[in-house]
Amino acid sequence: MLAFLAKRMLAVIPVMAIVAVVVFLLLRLSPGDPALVIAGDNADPEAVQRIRVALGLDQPLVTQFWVWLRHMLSGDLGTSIFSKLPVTDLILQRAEPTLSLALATMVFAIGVAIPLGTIAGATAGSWLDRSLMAVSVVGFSLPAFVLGYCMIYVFALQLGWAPVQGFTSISKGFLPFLHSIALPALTLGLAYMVLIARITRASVLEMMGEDFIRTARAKGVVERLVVTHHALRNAAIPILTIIGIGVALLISGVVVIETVFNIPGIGRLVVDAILKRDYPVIQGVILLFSAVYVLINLAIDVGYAFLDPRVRY
Amino acid sequence: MTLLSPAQADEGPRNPFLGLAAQALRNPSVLIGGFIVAAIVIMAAAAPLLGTVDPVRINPAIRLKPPSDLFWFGTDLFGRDIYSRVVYGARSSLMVGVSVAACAIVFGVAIGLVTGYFRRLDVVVMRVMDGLMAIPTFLLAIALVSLTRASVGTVVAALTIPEIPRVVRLVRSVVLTVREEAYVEAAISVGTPTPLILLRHILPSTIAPLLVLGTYVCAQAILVEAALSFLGTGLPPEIPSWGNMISEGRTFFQVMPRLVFLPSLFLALTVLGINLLGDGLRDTLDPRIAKRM
Repeated sequence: MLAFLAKRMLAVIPVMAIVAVVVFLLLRLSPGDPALVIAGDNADPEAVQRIRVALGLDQPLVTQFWVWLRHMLSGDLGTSIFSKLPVTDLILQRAEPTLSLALATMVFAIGVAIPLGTIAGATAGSWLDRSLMAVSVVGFSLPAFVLGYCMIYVFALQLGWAPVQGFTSISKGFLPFLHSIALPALTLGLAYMVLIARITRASVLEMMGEDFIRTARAKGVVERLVVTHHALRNAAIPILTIIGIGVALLISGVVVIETVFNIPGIGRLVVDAILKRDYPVIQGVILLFSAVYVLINLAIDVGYAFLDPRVRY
Repeated sequence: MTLLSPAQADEGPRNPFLGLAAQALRNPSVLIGGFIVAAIVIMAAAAPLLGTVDPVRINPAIRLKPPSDLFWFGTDLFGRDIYSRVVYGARSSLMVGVSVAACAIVFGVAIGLVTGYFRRLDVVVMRVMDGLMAIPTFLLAIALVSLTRASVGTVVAALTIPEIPRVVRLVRSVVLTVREEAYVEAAISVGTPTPLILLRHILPSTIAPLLVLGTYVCAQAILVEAALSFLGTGLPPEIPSWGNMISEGRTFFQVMPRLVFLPSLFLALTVLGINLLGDGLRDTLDPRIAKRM
């Protein structure tokens, strides 16, 4: 078990190293001299040179990379070119809305997808199964921002059930918070929910044909327990895997959905940074989101070992 | 055991591709998806013939007009004809989608064939691909777009790079299975040069799964282009694209939802058509393809 955990964790290092190199090169390839940007348009060449030396931009690329990597590993993501604030602070200031949105979306998507997918898989060919498959094709084809505007139109403008835009902090009460996060979470969660439901359906369906299901039925286990205790439990690994992979969908979605619903989160931060070409902020957010993605998938890999003894090889 | 009747023997082997095509056309997903895609392609190709006016002509005197006989879908906040912009927008979306799918497949196949076949390269290249795949597609695309000034070329490049690892993984997985086949061993043993083995004996096995993956990449590229343009970092604003139209219409959404919903409808329909086509092709060509992706 320990060897398995160690192997899994070590495998993350090369992946993150490649991510770091890509993100570092991204910043260095960006047009424009960072020293010139910081010094401003009217700075004299000597001042620019001073800033260049201060930033270490006169060093060879490899040296720059190691210095940069040391900063990143110690949690220093650099300074925004525009607000002059540390990127870490900017991200922390905006973490609450994004984290709330992501968590609410996951709770909704997983909470709906697994029961729905399980029932569809256990009753393959039924009307529920067919409608789930039909909805899933549509769910994949509807861009998140289009769905977002449909949601705003129906639930906020026509029915008045939800605020049109904006975010209410949880410190102002749980219900107002939930009220402001519901539409964005539903919007963001549809594609994720559909993805998980499809895989759940397929895995449960595959398990339903296994011998141990026949055995369970033969010994008189109630059908509901056959499905939940025997089929679903054995289908857990592909379901967990897709929950992890789908986090990429959430991260991409957050960036767009925060713009649609005007939520001041990390997604909005990175979009503003791109429009202003604030490279340290773009770099910091990409690094953070990629690390979160890799770590969630690592946690899921480790989770297999606890769930399924067959994995501990 | 029955002998073949002379008539049957004369028929000879049927073209396997024709047989597959006939089978694919019986699949409802292929039919519906193909119909939608064909309609959008015809709309894009015949855009000037469909009663459109210049989609970029600005006329402040007729801003935000409701639909009428003259302007079928009304006009936008610059007085441009929405109907014409929606029809011409199909050109932008399809061009981006098809270019990204084609580029990703060309580069992905080249890298995948070589790395799958030469074990020593495999480790290094696949680590790089894993690293690229660890950056969520959309983030990598917006980061790449932010590097240069917005143009069609940079958008296509920025959307292609994140898709290449997916193609490489697929091609590699096919190569790894096929290279163990007896006919490849036979080719090696008679001294066929390696490039010829790759092109003549291994490449054909990748065609069917690549056709399916290509449709998904195309649909994904159209979605991401629209999302980028929606955020203001995609195609240059003067190009009529559905994403740009939604982005511009956003400020007037509460008073005139049409500005957002009309381009959205066509965008969603196009992606739905391509996805249906892909699902249908996957089911008819080879059910095992799904496992590789």
